[in-house]
Amino acid sequence: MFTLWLVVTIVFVALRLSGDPATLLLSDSATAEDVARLRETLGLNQPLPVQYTTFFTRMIFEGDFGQSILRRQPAALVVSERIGATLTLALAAFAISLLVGLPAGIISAVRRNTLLDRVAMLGALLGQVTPGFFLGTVLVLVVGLWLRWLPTSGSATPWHLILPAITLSAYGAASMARLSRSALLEVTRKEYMRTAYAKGLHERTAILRHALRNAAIPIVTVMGIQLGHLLSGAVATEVVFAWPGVGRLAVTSIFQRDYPVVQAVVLMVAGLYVVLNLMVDVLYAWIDPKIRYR
Amino acid sequence: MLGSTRRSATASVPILPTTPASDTDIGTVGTRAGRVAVNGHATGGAIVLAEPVAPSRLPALLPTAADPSTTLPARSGRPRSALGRVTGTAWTAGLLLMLIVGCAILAPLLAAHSPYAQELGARLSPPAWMPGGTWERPLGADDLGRDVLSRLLYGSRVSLMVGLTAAIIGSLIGTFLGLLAGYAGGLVGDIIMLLADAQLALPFLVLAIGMIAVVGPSLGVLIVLAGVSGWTAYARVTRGLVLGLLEQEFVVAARALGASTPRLLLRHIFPNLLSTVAVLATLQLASVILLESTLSFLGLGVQPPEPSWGSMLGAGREYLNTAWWISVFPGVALMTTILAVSLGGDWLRDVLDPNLRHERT
Repeated sequence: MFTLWLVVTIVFVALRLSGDPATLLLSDSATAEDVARLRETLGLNQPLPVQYTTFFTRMIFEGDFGQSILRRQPAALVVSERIGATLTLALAAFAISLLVGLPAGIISAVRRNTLLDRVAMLGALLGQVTPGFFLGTVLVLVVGLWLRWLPTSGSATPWHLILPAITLSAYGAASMARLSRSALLEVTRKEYMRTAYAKGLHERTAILRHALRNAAIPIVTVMGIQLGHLLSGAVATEVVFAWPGVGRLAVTSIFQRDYPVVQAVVLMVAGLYVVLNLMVDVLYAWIDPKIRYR
Repeated sequence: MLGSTRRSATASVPILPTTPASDTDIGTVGTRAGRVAVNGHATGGAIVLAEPVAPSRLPALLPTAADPSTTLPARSGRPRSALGRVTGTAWTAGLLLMLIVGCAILAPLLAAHSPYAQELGARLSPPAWMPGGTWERPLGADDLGRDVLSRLLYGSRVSLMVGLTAAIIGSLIGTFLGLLAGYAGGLVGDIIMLLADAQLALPFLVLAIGMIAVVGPSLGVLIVLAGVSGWTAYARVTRGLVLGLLEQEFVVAARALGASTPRLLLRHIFPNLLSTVAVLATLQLASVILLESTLSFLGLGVQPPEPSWGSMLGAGREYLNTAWWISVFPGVALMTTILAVSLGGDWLRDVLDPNLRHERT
């Protein structure tokens, strides 16, 4: 909650610091009267604390982020129309990074120091250092333009989702693989693992039942951190693949000087992120009974 | 970015390394002690001491003259095993880094063309090994006929400069606030840590985009944003270390001897933070370079015609179908740089400060 308040406040301060929004919003040919009238409608002629309170209450309680200048619609509406696409992309990417990263990490840990492990970890390292927008561009070039296997722009069919989702998931899958590998290796040294083996458990059972469970906490931590990467990374990925999500909306709105929309994107994504974080925290307590929140 | 942020709800002292003064830290103090001791010998030693005393023990005999921290047993001549642990990966990272830094420094000598010089005749000309390419422009030319290799070379300057400046800004802000939070504690410390948690609980790129929307894109804004993006890591770690150091005997002793707060912080606590901060800064460098290139790619960072890898990649996307080299080479350069920096950072961490292992995923 504090975080959200902070964001709202920062946005408010930044908006006021950046000069008179009225002059920013109007074209250069606007007369002084035009500016004055707009200041009136925007409530800019009121004292700052009053402005702050209205700004705040409107945003939190009425979900009013102002009007989109270009589209003549409420900014909140413009953004919420696009947020579904971003969530779809993020969710798909999250699923991929989980389905690829976790098994890769487990296999690497179990078959450590084999060729398979080496290859997987080299791949993970590359995945971690490749900027998403570069990976995306290369995928567009190779898969889309040269091989012509998959569409690379827009979101018309489910096929359109594949490349952006892979792009966005790469970093997550890579860090997931590296982390689950090291978390598992850490756990395998523990006494209870030796006990598990000693009582004759099959390797598969021992790892799935005992090791993974205890390695879960750091893995969930990384999952939570990835949410941030997903939302941040989605911006560049959406631009590369012309995916109609909020990230691309924010970038185009900056160039179109549609500030209310940018502001709405920032605040709504921040809010979304805080909610997701809360969910991860709940997940924690559920996985590890030792964690209790005060 | 940080492994333990998520747990902050349970533990308000989040990532405090349990052994605050690691081997390295004590070593640092020891080295300092040794140096001060030699000084003591030079100034007062000649009069008071007739027989030779091991330099490291001098301060104990001259408590008023010497720095109180020197009462720690000096480990003179600590073997610097750092070089002994250089692995194959570290060599690779080091060589790559040297190559990249070399390119950045020597860009004017290495580049055959000006990064801004347009030549419409060479427009979209392919790399040398492809049909139609010439060795005059080994990596081809972009849509305005500018030499891609020359722009790559100059672009390394932007990436490194923004990265280094931002890492320095971040480490200064973060270390200062961390020192303050750890030393002052109380309400001030709580507020600082709350701010750090709040920033960590937000997707920074989205915030940065919001900021740029308001103030407009420029190199300065980029550097400040990239710098601010990383302060939280330093603040959290520094605070943890300071809390630990304050319990250490040499700090307690310095306090008891009446050292003023600035003296305590600067002479006794700060030197012990240096290696950790250096490691963190290296680790942060990679993410700062990534942030810069992402923003430049989106057109919100380095502005044309200034060459930056991110913006080159972004601008080249329009010509992907006909001239892939405009986008791909900057991407490769970027990837190599990030790889080299993060491998170097990992290695530096393992050598200098293993305690930080959990600070990064």
